[in-house]
Amino acid sequence: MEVALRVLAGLGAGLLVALLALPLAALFLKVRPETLLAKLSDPVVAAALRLSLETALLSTLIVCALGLPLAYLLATRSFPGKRVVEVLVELPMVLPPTVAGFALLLAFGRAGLLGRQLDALGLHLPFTTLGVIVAQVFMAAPFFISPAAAGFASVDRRYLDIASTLRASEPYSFFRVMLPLSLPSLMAGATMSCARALGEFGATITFAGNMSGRTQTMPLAVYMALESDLDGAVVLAIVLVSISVALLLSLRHLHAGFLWRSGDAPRRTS
Amino acid sequence: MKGIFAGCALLAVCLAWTQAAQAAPAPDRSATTTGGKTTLTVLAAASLSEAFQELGRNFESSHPGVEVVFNFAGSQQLATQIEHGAAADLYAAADERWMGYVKRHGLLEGVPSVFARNSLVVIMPGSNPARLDRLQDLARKGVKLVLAARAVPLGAYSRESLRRISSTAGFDSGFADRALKNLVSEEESAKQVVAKVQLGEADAGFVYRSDVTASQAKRVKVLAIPEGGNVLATYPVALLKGAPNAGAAREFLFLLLTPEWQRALQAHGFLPAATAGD
Amino acid sequence: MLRAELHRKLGDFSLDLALEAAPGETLALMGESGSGKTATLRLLAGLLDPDRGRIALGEEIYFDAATGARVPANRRSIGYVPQDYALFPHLDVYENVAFGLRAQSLRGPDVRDRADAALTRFGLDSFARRRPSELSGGQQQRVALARALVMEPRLLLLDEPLSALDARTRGEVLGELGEVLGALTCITVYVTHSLREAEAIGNRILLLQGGRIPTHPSGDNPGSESSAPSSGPQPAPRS
Repeated sequence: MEVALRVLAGLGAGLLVALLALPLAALFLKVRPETLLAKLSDPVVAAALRLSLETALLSTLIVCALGLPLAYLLATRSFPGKRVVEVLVELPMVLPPTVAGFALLLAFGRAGLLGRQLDALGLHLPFTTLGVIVAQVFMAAPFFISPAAAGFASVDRRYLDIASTLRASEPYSFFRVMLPLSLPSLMAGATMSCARALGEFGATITFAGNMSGRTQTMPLAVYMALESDLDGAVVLAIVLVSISVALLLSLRHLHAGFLWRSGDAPRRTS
Repeated sequence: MKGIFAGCALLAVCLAWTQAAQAAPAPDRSATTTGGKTTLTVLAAASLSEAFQELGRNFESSHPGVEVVFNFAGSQQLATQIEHGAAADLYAAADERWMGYVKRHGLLEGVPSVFARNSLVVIMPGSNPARLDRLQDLARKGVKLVLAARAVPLGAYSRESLRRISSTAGFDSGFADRALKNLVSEEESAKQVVAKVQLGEADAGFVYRSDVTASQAKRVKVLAIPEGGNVLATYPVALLKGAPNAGAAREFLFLLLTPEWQRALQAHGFLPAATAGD
Repeated sequence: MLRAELHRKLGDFSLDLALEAAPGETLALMGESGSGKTATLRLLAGLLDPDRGRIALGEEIYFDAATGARVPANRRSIGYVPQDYALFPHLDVYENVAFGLRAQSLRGPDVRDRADAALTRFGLDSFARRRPSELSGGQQQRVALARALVMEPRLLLLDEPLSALDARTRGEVLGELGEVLGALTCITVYVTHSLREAEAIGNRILLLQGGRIPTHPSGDNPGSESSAPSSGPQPAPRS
């Protein structure tokens, strides 16, 4: 009975691993190295790669800059409507991206809710690189905010208490205690949100459109190439997968050997 | 924790509801034969969806034992699906190119026949934000033009049309280039072009005449393309190799060319198969 | 002078007591676990607010329920050494000690001078660049003390500073600590559950039982009446 259970569990786990691994292997087996190099110098591929890296990096920075205060508030304060904000923050994780893109159009498009105001400011989002960034920020923000808030909340109160008996103001405590102690969570969140921004497709194509060099990021280029140039699609996909794998690996590494280990905290005695 | 339970409960309720809702009418899709019914599977270009759905209903009422199942997508996507072994009976494409692709791969049973044609129109949002009065205005600086991507049949037709317009009377030879400079997005399908224009995000877009359906006509304005500048899209249809239901498929092929079905297609904005274009 | 009258409900537990101490004095607050010792320190430090009562250190009113006066923790002249020291794990010994000086935005040279002096005073010079995790329990305790005292607080709060140490070190450290505290001019409140520590360290011992100080304070002879149960809540301030 127990043996059967073990075999079954092993089979199930193996099946899932195969499901995850085989498509990746297929991608890499599909293309010859010389095609890979040739395609990488293709101007459309190069433009998509560059645009993707630039926008993903920028939207990650924006997510971090704006997400940090929000995560801090969510972790340390209770205020009316907090639950609503929490749900709002997590919503993009479960929203179909095309729906998100459509909603973004209705809000920030030229004919959208804020269309006129944005136009008055000279801001045009649909069909612009800025729109790509907005779509990525929208989709990637939860991947930073949730872990960041959890990280802030898990910082031991004792350190903050001690800091305040040492004359530290709240901002000072934030920068010298909160931030460094939750840095692993923050970095993990930033990495995840960068990976999400890099892979963002549905919201981008719906909200920002598809134009090489301006709004055509890697995932869009892969999709478009699928319809005309399969080799190009495979190469793009390989590059995309490689970057994502690198990001995820760095995430693991980050966790394994970061600055200090949790065991370094002072011993608790009762 | 409580939230998770509430969420699960909600999910369960939704699931139950959809199952109940599905049980009421006949199931939409099923395996090739279920309960004595045979299924005719048609892979058709997205631009055919409204017209073919109507024809499908006609077919089902005149062939009680047959259920028609459509898969509407870009012709290029359908071609890829067929290449990778999608089990289907008929393939109706929006251009000869992708039909040729499928044919070259030896996946056709018999010869494709053209059953409809389509022409192009330029559409603008009802509010006409760029104040376009005539086709020449498309080349004006700052106009936001959307086209279908090059790989999509409509995208190729749109570019060809722009090129042809440039050499018709009243246009100069630089028209196409200047208009293409205004291109802000290459959409993945005709429907996406319509959506971007209808939402007022784009100032103009090239679509099939059949895309301007009765309901769309209320929301968008149409600019006609002069005779010499237009491109006729041809819609070939063919029986696929290994069609599970070749009999019904042949029947459907035959009906497509009958005057009755041709009229139905024309009611949806298509041009008759017979007119030999330019 | 420290004059405090503290009333605070914590769940089922209710803390009602009055304290008084003069500069240079070390008050040993003795009690079993759960008697409200740590809560008392947190109330004094401003990490917890009394429901009622008053806290005055010298002429400064830190808390007064009657007037609504309340000085936040980071503006009280109080040094706090919690039971497990709570040294900042991401900062080295030097930065731990300099933390409060930097928080006050003192000039760089001043921070260095005072932090260095504190390290020397507690024999921590050679550990300045170590992380807390690399220190022994006794060394950690000295860092925590240095970190609090470098601020020159007028009131020092120590919460069972020896309980995190093993029995052998405890004996050694007790001697050292007695010397350090004896030399201080500030008021010290030393919380412990050990009579031996209380006797060795305190000028005066207060017994805390169930959130109350049962009988009248007993100069320097606590042993004789330490077990006498209280008859009534008598938190009235003495003068």
